[in-house]
Amino acid sequence: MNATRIQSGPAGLAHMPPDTPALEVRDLTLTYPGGFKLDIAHFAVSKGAVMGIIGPNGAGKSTLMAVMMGLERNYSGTILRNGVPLSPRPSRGDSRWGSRKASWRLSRDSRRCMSAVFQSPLLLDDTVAGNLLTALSFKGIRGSAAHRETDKWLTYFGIPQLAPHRARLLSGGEAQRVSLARAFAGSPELIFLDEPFSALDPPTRSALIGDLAEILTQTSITALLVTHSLDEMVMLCGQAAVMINGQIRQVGTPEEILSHPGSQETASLVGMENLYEAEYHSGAKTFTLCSKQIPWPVLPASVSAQAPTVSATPGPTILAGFRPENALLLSPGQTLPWPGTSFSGMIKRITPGTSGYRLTISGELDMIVECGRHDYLQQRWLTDQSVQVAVPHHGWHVINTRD
Amino acid sequence: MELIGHGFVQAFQMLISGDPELLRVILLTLRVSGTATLISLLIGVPVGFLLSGKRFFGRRLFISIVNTGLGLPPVVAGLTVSILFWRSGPLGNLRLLYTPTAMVIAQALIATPVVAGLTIAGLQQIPPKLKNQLYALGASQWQIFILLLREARFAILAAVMAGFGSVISEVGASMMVGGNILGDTRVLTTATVMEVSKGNFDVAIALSLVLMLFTYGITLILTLIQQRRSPA
Repeated sequence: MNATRIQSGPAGLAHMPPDTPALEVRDLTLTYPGGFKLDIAHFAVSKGAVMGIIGPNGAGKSTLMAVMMGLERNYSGTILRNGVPLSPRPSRGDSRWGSRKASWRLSRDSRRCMSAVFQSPLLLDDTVAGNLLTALSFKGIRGSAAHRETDKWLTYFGIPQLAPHRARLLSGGEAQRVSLARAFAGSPELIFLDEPFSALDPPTRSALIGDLAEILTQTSITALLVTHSLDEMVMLCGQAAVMINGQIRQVGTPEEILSHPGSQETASLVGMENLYEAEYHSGAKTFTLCSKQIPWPVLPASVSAQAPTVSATPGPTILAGFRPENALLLSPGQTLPWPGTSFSGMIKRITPGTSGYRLTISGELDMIVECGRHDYLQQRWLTDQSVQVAVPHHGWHVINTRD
Repeated sequence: MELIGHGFVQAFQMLISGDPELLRVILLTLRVSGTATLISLLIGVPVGFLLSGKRFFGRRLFISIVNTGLGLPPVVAGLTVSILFWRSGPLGNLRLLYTPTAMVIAQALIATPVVAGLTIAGLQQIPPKLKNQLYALGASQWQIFILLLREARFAILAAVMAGFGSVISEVGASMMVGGNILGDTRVLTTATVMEVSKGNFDVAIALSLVLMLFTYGITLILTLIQQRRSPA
């Protein structure tokens, strides 16, 4: 990777108010004959942001991206780029802006400001440089300017030596680098990344994600990443949206989404495996779990509005939970290293993983605890061993299931 | 064997001597079949592109019709064109029957389904998402059309070779709509049939060899173009 700052980014946006989203979706609905419905009331991506969309298979992530790219047309709603509705070409005499049944393709000018990378590289049967030059010609960049741009982006993606090679003969990782360089060439305003790393092996994926993260940081190109991978979301995205059953359920920073999922479905999606019904006491700002009073955690603005608002006796049921990596297995005689709550239990199963061990514990609370490899090897936990598990107060999250 | 050997000698002598009648027949053969192949290319490739990509009602029916056309008997094509251009036919006033133009039309009718069918097969080998990728990179519809054809160029060149091969070798349609008129509509295949019917087997063999020579020459050129930059 070249360490110099990348001189790129969309030109001609100086007249736009600074808070105008680069991309905005309003009242979008799309129904498939099979019954699947995409229903997005509002979704916005700030200029220069890297927004992730995560969700389970069939949630509608790629469909939403296809709509925004102009590949899916039979929907109703409005899509705005820099506050301006994307130029539609009405096909049935309907030329009004705003919410309507649309059946059009994006204008060429709109598409020239965008670019995309899909799961497979989808390169042309040409040289690597030829692929970039062809893509640049779509954007009206030709001649020496196109060659300079090609050299620049191949260098930033660490593959200048591949320029004369035939694209069809590249390895999967090299081909996806070329696909990314092709998408960035010409510095579009907006780049759509539809699971671009899912077909790569872990080392290749890791290296490419690192390089892409650096390039995205250095450019002001707005990017939208559809992914299943929480790691990719954390490493690349400043903001993320959780999509389930065709709806956006939560928008926040990756950390907010991982630690404070807004619903039980989101919690399950982001790996908050320890989730329990608890009693909420609004007056005391605590909740009760296994007869233990635990302070109400500080929630981020994106989810705090979802805390119960009623004060009843007994308190309404809520879901309280913590991530497996937020719990600590206490050594015999060890005291809590931070303010928290401890639960007694017995280790039922130990499952080794790549970064550590997962321990299934049964007792006061049935739970999954992740233990780092170093800690595990130090303590040598065994199955059927009695343990104390501590959860810090700040490690808890609550989900309102009543209001 | 003696007959075949004599045919080889005869073919060599005919070519060396520059027999004007033979040259006229060869040139007409190339002109008629070349023009028919070109027409089939201009019609068959866009039709193949449309049928391979666009989803519309009746698409599969159209593809099945094209695929049926791959095996269209030349005599059926010849009969169809004959009926159209008979004096009493719907296009009889054009007075094209027994002209090279009618032969071109009949041969184009034979070659077009071949070109369209193989174009469909070639384009359907391309990853379906490539079109979306090009669209998302900002390509115009025309650029997408050209680039997808370029991706399928090996299959399309194969379609051209198959189309040309099917028309230069056919005899039924050319005989029916051309009439094998000396100096006007006689081509290598109809001349060969005529010489066989007259019992001039050595001349027929000579004409067949000349036909094979030219067919091979043209196919060789197309093959060299096709294989010039084929992927390893």
